[in-house]
Formats: sequence, C-alpha cells, structure tokens
Amino acid sequence: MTIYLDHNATTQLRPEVWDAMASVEFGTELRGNPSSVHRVGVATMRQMAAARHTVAGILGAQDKEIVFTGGGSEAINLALQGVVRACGKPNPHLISTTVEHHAVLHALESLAAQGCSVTLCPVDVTGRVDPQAIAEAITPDTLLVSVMFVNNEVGTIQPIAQIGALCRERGVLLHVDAVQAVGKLRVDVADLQCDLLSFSAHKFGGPQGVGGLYVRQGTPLAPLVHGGPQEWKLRAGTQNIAGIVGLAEALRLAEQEREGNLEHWLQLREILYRLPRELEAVRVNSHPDLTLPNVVNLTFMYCDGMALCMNLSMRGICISTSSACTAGDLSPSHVLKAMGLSDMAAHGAVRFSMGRSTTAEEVEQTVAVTKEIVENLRLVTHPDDIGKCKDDCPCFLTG
Amino acid sequence: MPKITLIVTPKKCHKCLQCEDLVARLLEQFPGQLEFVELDTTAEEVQQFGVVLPPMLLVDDFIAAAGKVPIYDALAKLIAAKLPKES
Repeated sequence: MTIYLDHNATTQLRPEVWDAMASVEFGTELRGNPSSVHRVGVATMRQMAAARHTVAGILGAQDKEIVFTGGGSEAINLALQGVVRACGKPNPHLISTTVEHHAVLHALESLAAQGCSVTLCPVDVTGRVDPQAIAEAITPDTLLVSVMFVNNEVGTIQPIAQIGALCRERGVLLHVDAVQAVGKLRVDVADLQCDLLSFSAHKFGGPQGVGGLYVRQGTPLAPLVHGGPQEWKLRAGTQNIAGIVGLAEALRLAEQEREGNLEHWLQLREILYRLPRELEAVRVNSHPDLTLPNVVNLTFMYCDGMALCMNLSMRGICISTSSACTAGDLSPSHVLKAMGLSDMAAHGAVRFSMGRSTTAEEVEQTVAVTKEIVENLRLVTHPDDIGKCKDDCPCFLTG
Repeated sequence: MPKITLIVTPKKCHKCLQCEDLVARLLEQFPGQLEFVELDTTAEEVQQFGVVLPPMLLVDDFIAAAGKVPIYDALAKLIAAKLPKES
C-alpha cells in the first residue's frame, strides 16, 4: 500500500473531476473547437465559458479577467515576461523574494539577462518577507513586484494583502504566485489588491497541464504565444477544454471543502509534530502559525534527507526532500538556505504534504516508520558527509 | 540471512570503491552469515528501487547509504543485531 504525502508536488485527480472531463470528451455532445462558429463549436465555447465563470467567481474576478494557460509555470511566465514586454520601458526594475518557486526565479533571471534589474528581498527564519523590505526596494523604475502566496516547500504564508496595499499605493503592479494557495486558502483578488495571480489545477485535485492567470482589467500584458485571438488575445492556441472544465470542477469542489480540509490538516499536523517532540535534534522549518497546515517541513539533523526520503519510498511512503539533486551536485534547497539554515540542516530537511484524502492512520504510520529510519540513518551516516559530493564523483539519479 | 545490496555506477567512483572495500570487510567479519549482491545502475533489478543515488548500500530493505560511504562500525552493529542470536 502506498501512503502519498507529496500533495504539494501534485494531488490525485478527483473522480468527480474525471467525470466532468470525460463528459467533455466522451459525452453525448460532440466536442468542438470553441472558436468555431457552428453549433458544436458554440456548445463547446459555452462549456468553457461556464468553467471560466466558476473560476472567476471563486477568485472574486470578472470572467474576462481569467486567462487559461498550460499550467502554473506558464501563467507565471506570462505574468512576468508579459508585463515587461507590454510596459514599453527599456530596463524596468522587478522585485521578488529569495524563496520563490523556480518558475519565478528563473523567469526573472531570463529577464535580467535581457536588461531588467531585479531585487530579491530576503526573508526571516520562517520564510516570511517583511512588507517594509518590499516598500524600501521600490524605486521610480519599479514595474512589478512578484511574491508567492504560500511557499511550496515550507508552507509559510506571505503577507500578500499588506504587500498589495503598498504596491497599489506606490503605483507598482503586483503578481501573486498563488499556485499552492488556490483551492486551499480563501483567495480573493480584490482583498489582495493584486494585478496578476497565477494558479494550477493539479495542486487542488484537477488535471496536470492546465492552469490560469488572473489579469486585472487594464493591466498591460503582452502574449508570449502568438497566433489566434484565444484567451483575450493573451494566449494563442485552441484551449484544452477538458482540462479547463476539470480545473473549474476541481476548484469548485476544493472551495466547497476548504474549511473542512483546513480543520482536517490541523489535526493531522499534530500527529506529524510528534516527530520533533519525540526525536532529538529535529527542527520545524515552517512558520508556527502562518503556515498552510497541510505542509510540515522538518530538518532531521545528522540525517541525510535524501536517504530518508528514499527509505520511506522503499516502505511505501512518498514524501519529498527539499534538496534538488543533479548530476555531480547535491544542492541544498534555496528556500531553506534563504531562511538561514546551514547546508547540513538544509540537507536534513524533508517535506510532508497532506491532501484531502490523507488519513490519521497514514500519518501515524508515517511517524512510526520515519522515527525508525531516522534513528538508523543517524547511526550509519557520518555527519560530515551529509550533502557532500565531490566534483569527480559521477553520481546521478536514475528513474 | 541479512542481504547486503551494493549499487554502483558502471564506471565506479571513489565512493563506490570505498563501499566495495567496506562490504569486503563485512563479509570477512561475518563469514557465511551474509548474502551479498552487487549491481550496477544499468541492471534491470535496480529499477525496483525507483530513484537511485549510487553508491547505494542496502541491508535488506534499509538504505544505509545513498551517495555516501556509511560508517563501518555502526553498520556492522546494525548487521549484528539482525543475525540470529547464538544460544
């Protein structure tokens, strides 16, 4: 049996969502191109419009402010690159934080290579950015601020409404990477005072490969993909209708169950919190209160997080390590490093992320197995070797 | 009988070689009491482990080390605890 505690990476597609998607693909009506002017095309267009209306309603937006994309990363890139392309300024200034997802950080790196100047504001030991630091970083050339709502690795919630208010006051655009927040927290674009907000279906029970971007009316944005006039001329290409219908149904269900899920995760989190209480030298890396309760990020000092993750996998428990591993390099998590953790502490970190279907029994079993593995790993691993990988070592990952 | 599995890269790195030495010492310390298999990462059997970070040393289904050389004494103690007690 598999215990899946990696819901921040992806959630399982909900059966109700699959039914909604199947009705598009295999229902009694033909599935057409929503841009076609015949009855089949118009019927398909109506399905898409209904999905857009559902999403817009939940986010507090207007229908025409929702742009469907091929996922969260595409939405983020459309927001960041699209604003720069549309602004008409030669070298605009962009502000973000050191703990953003790579979709944001690498898009910013690309923009910096094209002449933009980028400021990354630091975070505190819990991963929170101080809105004052954002305010101080704003210059007359600042075009956009981009901050994630919820951190994917540690679950820390950022003070988005405060940042939104100051951006609005200073006349700077705000993009919110809400990929880990939508479907889990209440997200209202008016309350947040954001101009752009990206989200992804597979983080809340929808299909992979579909996401969206909220674009406040009047926000200057240029498309990245050119072609037809789809998605308000901001994203050319025939839409993924089944995916869009699935996204809307998943979001509708997640919104209905949101408060119950938060309550459920708070209870399950208490079980996971037994690990720092019952084992020596375990650090809780998430913010104690301002954290999405489905995520628990823990550092097991003197224990290799990668080995722990692999051992749990062998025992049927799927979690995630915070470290990325590429050929010849074991890089510690940039998020944990930005929070001030040492390399060794970052290499001992793992993330447990729960979903709506996670049970107390599964979490209890995870705690028991994790304790056993950590105790054994601490015995056999030399602390100085954790996270070390010499340049001449040809180690690699295979699937 | 405890089973030691060592997964190495086809072109063994220094850590793979150190792990081989370590296993040789274990086999010497526990003669006839351990089963030992060495696989390289291209072997079909390795697929069952999913993600592999060589050198990877397993004692039964416990991954004692991934990408590292484990501490010999601690590993020997772990293995000794798995052996049937002498009456």
